[in-house]
Amino acid sequence: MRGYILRRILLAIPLLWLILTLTFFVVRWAPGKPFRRERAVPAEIEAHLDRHYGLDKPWYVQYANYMRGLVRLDFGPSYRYPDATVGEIVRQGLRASVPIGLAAYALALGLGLPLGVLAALHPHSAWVRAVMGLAVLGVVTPNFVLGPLLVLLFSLTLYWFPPAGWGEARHLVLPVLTLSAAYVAYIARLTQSGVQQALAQDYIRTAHAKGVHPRAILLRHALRPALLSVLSFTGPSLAFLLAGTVVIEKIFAIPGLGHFFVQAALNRDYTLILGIVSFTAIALIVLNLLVDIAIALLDPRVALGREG
Amino acid sequence: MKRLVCIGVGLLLLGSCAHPAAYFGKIEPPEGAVLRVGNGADPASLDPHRAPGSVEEQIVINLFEGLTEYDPVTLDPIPAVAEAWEVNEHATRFRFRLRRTARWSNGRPVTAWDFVYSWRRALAPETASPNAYLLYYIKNAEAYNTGKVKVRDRRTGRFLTDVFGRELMLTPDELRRIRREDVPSEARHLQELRRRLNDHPWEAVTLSAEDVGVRALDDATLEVEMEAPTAFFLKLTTLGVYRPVPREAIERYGRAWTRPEHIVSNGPFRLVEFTPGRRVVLEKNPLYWDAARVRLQRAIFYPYDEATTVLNLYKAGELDVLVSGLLPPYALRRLQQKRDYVSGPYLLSYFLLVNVRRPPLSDRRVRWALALSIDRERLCRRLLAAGQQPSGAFTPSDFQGKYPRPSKVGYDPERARQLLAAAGYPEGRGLRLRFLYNTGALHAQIAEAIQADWRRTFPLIRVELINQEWQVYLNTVRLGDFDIARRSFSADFSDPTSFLDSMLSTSPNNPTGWANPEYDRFIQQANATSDDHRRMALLARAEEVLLDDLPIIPIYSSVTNFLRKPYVRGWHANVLDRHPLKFVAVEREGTPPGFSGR
Repeated sequence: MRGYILRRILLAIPLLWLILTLTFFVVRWAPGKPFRRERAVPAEIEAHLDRHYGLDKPWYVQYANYMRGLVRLDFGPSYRYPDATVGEIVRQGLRASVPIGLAAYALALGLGLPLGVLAALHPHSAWVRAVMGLAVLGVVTPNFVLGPLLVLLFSLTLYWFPPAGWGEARHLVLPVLTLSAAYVAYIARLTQSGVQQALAQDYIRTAHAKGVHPRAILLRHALRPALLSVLSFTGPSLAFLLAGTVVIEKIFAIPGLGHFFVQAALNRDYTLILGIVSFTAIALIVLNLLVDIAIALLDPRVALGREG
Repeated sequence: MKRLVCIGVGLLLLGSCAHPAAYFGKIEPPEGAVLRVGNGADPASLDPHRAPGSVEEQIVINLFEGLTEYDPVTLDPIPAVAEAWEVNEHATRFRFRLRRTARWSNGRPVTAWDFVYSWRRALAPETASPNAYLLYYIKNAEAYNTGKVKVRDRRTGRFLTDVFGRELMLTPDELRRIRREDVPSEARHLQELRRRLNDHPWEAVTLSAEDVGVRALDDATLEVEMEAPTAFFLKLTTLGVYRPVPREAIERYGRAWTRPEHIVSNGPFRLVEFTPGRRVVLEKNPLYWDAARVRLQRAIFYPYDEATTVLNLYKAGELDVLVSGLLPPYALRRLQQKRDYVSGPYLLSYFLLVNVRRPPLSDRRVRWALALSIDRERLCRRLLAAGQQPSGAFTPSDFQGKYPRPSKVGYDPERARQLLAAAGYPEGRGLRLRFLYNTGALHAQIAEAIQADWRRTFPLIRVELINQEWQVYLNTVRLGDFDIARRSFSADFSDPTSFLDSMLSTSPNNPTGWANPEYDRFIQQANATSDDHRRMALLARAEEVLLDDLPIIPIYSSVTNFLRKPYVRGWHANVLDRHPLKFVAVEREGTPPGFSGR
């Protein structure tokens, strides 16, 4: 297992390098430049700006300088925010994205898992079906519709929560609800089908025959395999939740990673784009690895690192 | 998708406020003397020299106080750090007397030396200030910032001048060519200069920070020498890039000097927080010389840019006032009936750039035909609806009656048809144009309306609309790869020069390929004139030349429009949308229910 993890981490390095190199060149090929605004400045001033940020050098020198900085974990200055570094902006974005992402994730698991189990146990109960129906509505309602609807109800009619903004606990409620809505339904559905499938297995019947308590059967024998599919779904989705969800951040004006990413792309803030891409890539790689490890721990049939 | 959100929420919003109330949403003032401003975007930087646009300016002018300050209504310069000033007859030398009570937030007095340091820093090539060009009116400022050289006659020791008496400047490349006698024959002014230089023993002079025409005569006296007469200089000294910066903090902390824990400022407010994407928080500066007058304790600038989100926040009472231009077009008519809606003239022109290098647009008749067939009246009334004025000129205003603005371009489809037929395109036959615009605002709808006008007037014309993302669009325009492109231009300061300079043949803001020596001459002559009345007349003649040729097709003059809660005082509509918070207050008591004045 340790060897497997080590190998995965070593493999991640060339992968990261490839992602960053591709991004480096793609953003530079996009027309436009970081400091362009509607009002053009004299050519000499533009030259000062280029020189200030090393953009006057040939591409291979810029590339080499950038990679050299990366090795020292220096992502350079942001072009959009000349007083701040990319590292500071990314940290700033995470301060908003992580609480929202984690809260939405917790809510989705906390509601989705029990709901799925209940639905699997009482497939014909009317209220379970109603709740599941509601959850499915959550999946099919795009978040850019759900978000404004919640705002209309809770902010502009009832005045309970602020319609947007960031910084206090009350700001969390609506975006977290909006963000988790789709995941609740997914997780509930995955859990339901997983549990149902497991309950139909022979070993469950055997357990029943041996007189094992039904709750123990459910928790120990049926839920465990059902969790596998939930896990492999939620691992990468956690990465996306953390890396910022552009639409939610736009609607609720949250200064998260997604917000900065979109801004950076629009402003051709090369260094900030690269900084956020590398963070997202690392988060995805790490979380996928964690999911694989968790699956191996849950499922005795999976043995990491052993071929065949 | 953004549009979907807008429409969806828009319908819901409008539905929810079906019975019109006097105000839009909550009108209870916040706790304490706090003002929460919807500022439209994140400031890139709070360094006055690195702050590129109006979003930054809005904040920077409250942190740093210049020689002069904006009057909150007229924007005329009023005394600030300078308590008095004198100007010589030709408006080439200004002397400011600084008030001795002005202090930095660390207690140190603000002196004339601070301004000398600050202006030199703004111009230093290493600072890479995008706004350095606004200081070029000061003697030797442009030469120092751009590395251009001046030419001195060795016998008299004087600098050579052009026909208007302005000292000549050469780029390093031009200088090399003259020295090597390698002047291309088409560069006529260089050829002429080379001939002139042959008669004189001459030398090229590189100018440094010490040569810039700003001097401290003593702690409280600042003298500024101009490159040429600059009657409007006091409007410039109000701008952010002219405001003083603290030498001690900059030398100690470098790029990080604008952080709340390092910053030293001299304005009515000081910085307590800047969280990118979230907010900028200012607090009243107790050491400010005029602190007794400052009534706000705190001001918070929010960067929200999504129009619907901004509107929601305002309605819910989370924002007290918005800067101009943040209101979603779909809600405009409804909002206009509210007492919070404020609107006024704005120094911003919306127009079309015409690429005159390309036939058939190189034909003046074609440009005029296109201009005369746009029904601006209808466009403004039906589509824009915020009070925008149809414009027949490049400048958007007569500058309080001081500028005899020529307005030439109207709506005359009959004459347009004649002109186009005379140019060889009857009914628009064979005329194909590519109309470039960028994503955002109402640009697409405006382009479609203009396309429809052209089609109605010339049934056979073919106009292709091309939509590009902002940075791509800027790049395409700059490369001159367009037939017609939409453009808007706002003033840096309230003077027609701020617009007209941009159409000089040498201006980086003129991508049309149009160069008219007569226009350049009128502008240069105006720029060398000290009498303001005469200067305005010369500028108007230049604009007439421009409008005769029409390398730009005027569309409309814009307006400011925003929402302001009834308890906010001293935040006025003005032509640059600048709002010094020194004059703003939040009044908790005695807000009369019908209050709608200033």
